Amino acid sequence: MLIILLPATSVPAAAVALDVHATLGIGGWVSPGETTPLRVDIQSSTPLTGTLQVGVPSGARGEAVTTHLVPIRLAAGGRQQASVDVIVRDPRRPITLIVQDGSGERFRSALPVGPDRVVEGIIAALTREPAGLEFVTGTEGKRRPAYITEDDLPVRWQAFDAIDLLIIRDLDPRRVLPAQARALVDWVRQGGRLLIVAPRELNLAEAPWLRDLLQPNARGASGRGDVTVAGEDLFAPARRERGELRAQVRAVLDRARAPSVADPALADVLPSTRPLPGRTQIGLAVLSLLYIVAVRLVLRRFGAVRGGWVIMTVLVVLSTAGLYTVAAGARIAATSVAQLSVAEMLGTLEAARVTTYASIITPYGGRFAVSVPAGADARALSDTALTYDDGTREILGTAADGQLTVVVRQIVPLRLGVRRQASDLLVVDQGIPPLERVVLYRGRQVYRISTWAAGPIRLDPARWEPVDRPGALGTDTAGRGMDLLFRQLDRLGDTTWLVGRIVDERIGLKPRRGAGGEAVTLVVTEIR
Amino acid sequence: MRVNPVFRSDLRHRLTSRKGGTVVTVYLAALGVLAFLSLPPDLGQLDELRHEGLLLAFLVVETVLAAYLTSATASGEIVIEGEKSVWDLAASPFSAGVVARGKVLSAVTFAMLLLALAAPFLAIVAGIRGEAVGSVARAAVAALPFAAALGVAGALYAGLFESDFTRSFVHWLTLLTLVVGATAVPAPWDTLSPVRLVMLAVRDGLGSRVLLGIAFYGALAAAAGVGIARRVEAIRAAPQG
Repeated sequence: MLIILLPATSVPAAAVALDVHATLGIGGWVSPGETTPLRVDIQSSTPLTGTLQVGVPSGARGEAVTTHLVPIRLAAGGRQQASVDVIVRDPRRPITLIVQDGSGERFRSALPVGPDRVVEGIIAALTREPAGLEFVTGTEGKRRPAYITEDDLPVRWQAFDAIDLLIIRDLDPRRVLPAQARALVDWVRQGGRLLIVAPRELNLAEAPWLRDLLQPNARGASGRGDVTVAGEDLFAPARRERGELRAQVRAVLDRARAPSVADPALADVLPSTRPLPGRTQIGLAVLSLLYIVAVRLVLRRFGAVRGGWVIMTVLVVLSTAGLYTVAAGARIAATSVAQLSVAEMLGTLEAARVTTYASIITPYGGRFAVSVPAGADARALSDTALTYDDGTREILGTAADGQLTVVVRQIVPLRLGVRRQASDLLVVDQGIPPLERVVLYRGRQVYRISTWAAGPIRLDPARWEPVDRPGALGTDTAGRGMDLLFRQLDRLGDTTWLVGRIVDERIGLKPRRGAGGEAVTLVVTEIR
Repeated sequence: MRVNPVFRSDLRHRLTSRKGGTVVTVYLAALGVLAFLSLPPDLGQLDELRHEGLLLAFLVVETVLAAYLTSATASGEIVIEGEKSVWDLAASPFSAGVVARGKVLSAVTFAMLLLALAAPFLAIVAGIRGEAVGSVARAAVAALPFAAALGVAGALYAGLFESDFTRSFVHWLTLLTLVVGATAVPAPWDTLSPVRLVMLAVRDGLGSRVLLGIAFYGALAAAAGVGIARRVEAIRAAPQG
C-alpha cells in the first residue's frame, strides 16, 4: 500500500492546522485511462468548512485539467475521508490537491504519480501476509500484484476497473464499510472476477454480502461475474511452492470476462450539433424586419423634428434589448443533451449495468451543467477541462467544439423476467416494466413483438426477418443504436436476445432546466 | 444654441429623403442578412471563425459599410436629393468655417447614427454567441473616428473633383488603401487599418495602439475639415466664368 503524506506547498500560516494524507490507486498501482480510486484523509485542528479540489491533468498535452470538488466539513480535531475516482491519463504529471474555505486556500500540494506506478492490470489480494503473487510480475503484459487491506477497497464499483482479479484470503468484515461491500458485490455482479481462498477461515456470519456470492444454491447470485472458491489456503507456503496458487490464478484469468455490448461506437449515433429551432429563427427574422421598417418610418416622420433623436434612441435601445434577450434565450435553449443508454441485465439478477453515452451539445458555446445520478460514474471521452462536483453531483464545463461526449456507468435495479418455455413460447413475468419496440434478436434476424405484456408469447417462425439492411429498425437514434447493438451481440455467440426501449428516469445525465434533451435507453437481456 | 445650418440641412436630407431612407434600409437589411448568416451553429466551429469570432467579423463588416455609406453620401457618389455639396455651399452666404464645421458634424453624426442603428443586429450575434456586450461598445468607439474621417474626406473630394469618375475613383482608392492596404502592412502601422483597429479594441480594449489609431482618424477628419474650408475659400476666390 502506498500512502503519501503530503507536504503543503505555498500555503498561508493558517494551513498548518491541516494534516492531509493521500492514497492513489489499488495498492499504489495506476492503470492510465481507467477509473482509479484516490482516497484523501484530511484532519484539521480547527473547524473547517470548505472544499477539497483535486486537479488531474487530463490531456495528452497536459493543458486540460479535470477537477473534482468534494465538500469538506470538519469540527475541531475532526477527520474526514474523501474518496474520489480519477482518471489518470498522463502519469508524468502530478495530481494537485487543494483545500480551500471561505477565506481562501488552506492547503496545496502536488501528488506525484510517476511512470513506475503504471500497470495494465492488477491482481489484488486481500491478505494479511503480503506474499505469494510474485509470479504475476514477469508474466505477459504489465500486470502487477497488489496486497491490500480492507481500508483499500474502493467505495464505488467503477473504481475496481483496473483489477483483473480480486483474491480474498483474510477479511475482517467489521472493517469493511457498507459502501465498500456494496461496491465489491456490484463489481463482481457486473463482470468482475473474484477468487475466495479458504472460505471456512472467513467470518462469513458477519459478511452476508460475501456469503450470498458464495452460496452454491443461489444460482446467478454473482450475475455476470466470475466467483471461484478454493477450499484450501493456496497462500500457504507449501501450496505456493507447488504452484497451486499460480495455477488457480492462471485458470481464472484464462476464462474470458463477460464483455459489455455497450461499445463506444454507440456514441457515433448521437447528434453532435443542433440547429436553432425554426420558430426561433422566424421570430428573430420577424423582429428584425419590424425593426428595419420602424427605423424607416421613424426617420421619415421624426428625422427632421426637434427631439426626434430621442424617439430614435428609444427605438434602438428597446430593439437591442429585445433582440438580445431573444437571442440569449435561444442560445440557452439550443443547449441539449442527447443520450443513448444500454441496460444489460446482469444474468438472472434483478439489476442491470447501464452504460450511457451522452452528447452534450452547446452549439453556441458557453458553460453547461448536467446532473449525474447517485452511484453513477461519468467521464468525458475526450480530453476536456471538466469539473465534477461531488457535492451537487454535477458536471460543469465548456465544450470547446460545441459538443462533448460523456460516458456514464451505473447499476440500476431492474426486473425483466423473460424466459423461454419452449422453442416457440416465451413467458413474460408479472410486474415487468413497459417496453417499446421490443424485438428478439438472433444471428442477424429479428422478431418484432407487437404486444409486450405479462404472460405467454407464442412465436411464429415465419415472422423472423433479416436485418442486413441498415436502417431496418428505423433511422432514429433508437433504430441506429439497435443496429450497432446487434453487431455487438453477434460476437457473443449463437443465442437469442431480447432488446427493447425503456423509459427510466434513473438512467443517464439530467440536463439543467431550460436545456433540451433526448434520451433513448435500450434494454438487452439474454433469453434462456 | 444655434445649430450649424449646413449640418442641419445635410442631416435632414439624409434622414428624411427617399434616397436617404433607402440607404439606411439597405444598410440595415445587409446587416440583418449577415446576422442571420451567423446563426448556424456549425459556422462558429470553423477554425478561422472560432479564433476570430463571428461577432468580430460582423463588427468589421458593419464598420466598413458605415464608413462607405458615410463617405459615399458625402462625396456625392450616392446622391441625396437636396444635399448641398462643397461646390454649392461655396456659392452660399455661409462662411468657409461654417461649411467645414457643418460637413464634419454631418459626417460624424451620420456615422454615429449608422453604427447605433446596427446595435440590434449586433445584439443578435452577441446574444446567441454569448459574447460580451462591452466589446461591442469598444468596437464602436474605434469605428466611429474611421467612418467619420472617411465621411469628411468624401465631402472634401466633392469639392476637389468635379468629375464623377475621378471622385469615385479617389474615394474607392482611399477606402481600399485604408481597409485592405493598411491591413497588409506590418505592425504597428497596421493599426491604421479599421479591421485591425476594431480587432484590437474588441480583444485588448482601448489600449495605446487603439487610441493612436483613433487619434489618427480624428486628425484626418480635422485635416479634411480644414481642407474643406480652404477649398471653399479657393472656389470663392477663383474668377467666375
